[in-house]
Amino acid sequence: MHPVELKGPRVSWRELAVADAQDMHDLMSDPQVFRYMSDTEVPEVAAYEAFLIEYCATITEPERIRYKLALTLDGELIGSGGVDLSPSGRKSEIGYMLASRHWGKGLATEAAALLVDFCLDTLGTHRVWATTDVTNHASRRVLAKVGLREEGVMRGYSFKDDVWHDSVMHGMVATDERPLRG
Amino acid sequence: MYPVEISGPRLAWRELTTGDADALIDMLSDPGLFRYAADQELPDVETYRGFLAEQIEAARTPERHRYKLGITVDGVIAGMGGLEMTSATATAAEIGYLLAPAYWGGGMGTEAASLLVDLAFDRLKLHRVFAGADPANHASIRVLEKIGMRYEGTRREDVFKDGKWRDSVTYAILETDARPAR
Ligand SMILES: CC(C)(COP(=O)(O)OP(=O)(O)OC[C@H]1O[C@@H](n2cnc3c(N)ncnc32)[C@H](O)[C@@H]1OP(=O)(O)O)[C@@H](O)C(=O)NCCC(=O)NCCS
Ligand SMILES: CC(C)(COP(=O)(O)OP(=O)(O)OC[C@H]1O[C@@H](n2cnc3c(N)ncnc32)[C@H](O)[C@@H]1OP(=O)(O)O)[C@@H](O)C(=O)NCCC(=O)NCCS
Repeated sequence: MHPVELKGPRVSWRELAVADAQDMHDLMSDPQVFRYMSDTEVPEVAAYEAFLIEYCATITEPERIRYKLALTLDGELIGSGGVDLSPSGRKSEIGYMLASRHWGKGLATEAAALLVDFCLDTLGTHRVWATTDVTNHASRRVLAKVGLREEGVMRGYSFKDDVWHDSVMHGMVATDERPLRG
Repeated sequence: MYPVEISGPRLAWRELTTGDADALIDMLSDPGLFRYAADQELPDVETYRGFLAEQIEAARTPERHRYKLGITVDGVIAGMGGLEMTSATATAAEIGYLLAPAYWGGGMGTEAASLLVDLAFDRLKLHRVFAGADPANHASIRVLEKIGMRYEGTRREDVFKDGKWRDSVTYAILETDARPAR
């Protein structure tokens, strides 16, 4: 579906646009945010713009499986994230990041709850999952607060800053309790 | 990497050809085997041949990240499976395998699976190899344990099969783990 617009009490998700390239570059340049991203380098603005042009050309396809979204507060881009559907369309993976100046106020929890509602109610997927670095306690807590359960630890899942990292797998199914349902 | 050929004491993995379509569909039609596969209709031989042709073309590119292979015993197709990465630069791969029921119960599944682990670590230089299984598929889980994989967790209601959502268990081995002698 397109366009996606999800509104919470404070933050909103909207479609990412080519014009967001600079803001996205600034967001990823935040070392505390970049630390938990899989990329090895922050993409240059021009490179990210090229990526967005390509990506935005696909979002109106009826079989859309990628939802890359911008998180806004009072109209300003303060984070990003989104949803990836499995090939069957029955499962969805969520992810999010938030500029560090906005941490600690419950905004990520609100943003993640909106994604969970979108996956279960709008996209109709049965299962929602996410992965986090085992040391990313804030994000693990966010996922727990919106109703995802920790289902295991995948060893040697990612390589970042010269070391291998383990990742927690989190999952929620449509029949689970949804503590923050909107 | 193309073509891949790996031989063990009793069986070998080799690239599939369009000429294998009949033998593979024949094998996959075995009701004893289909019980373990996720919900999918078996294609007819013609469609399957076209699908194999596409796979072979993709396998010959430098971006190859799917190694869909056949198992042979004395030169005859006895099973299939392989290894799949999310991209050619990924450091992890998922393995899968199946044998025609005539070959079950004599250690061939274990031999086939351990050869895939060797392919991943020794030739593709990967860091992590993982596999998923239905919790009720005791033979497959035993195979994963025998090749040195460790249990990492259970994804709840992860696979839709026979009209029901089923859990899946995840097992993995790292390049730094011991690979049991066989
Ligand atoms: C993870 C992230 C989104 C959290 O944003 P946030 O708006 O601060 O999160 P919230 O305020 O909604 O909730 C954070 C929770 O984690 C807790 N927390 C924060 N730091 C913690 C730590 N070091 N250890 C344990 N808990 C911690 C908070 O107390 C809060 O829980 P509470 O409500 O029970 O007190 C943000 O830190 C971020 O963008 N990080 C970088 C990118 C990233 O990791 N993305 C997720 C990848 S899966
Ligand atoms: C899984 C499969 C490849 C195993 O092949 P195999 O050649 O019989 O496997 P092996 O003989 O090497 O090992 C099987 C092990 O499981 C054990 N086993 C078999 N059936 C079992 C059962 N019902 N309960 C408990 N253990 C069982 C065997 O005893 C043996 O273990 P052991 O050596 O400790 O005695 C084969 O059964 C198959 O193709 N199944 C259908 C497809 C499939 O399930 N693929 C895996 C998807 S994850």
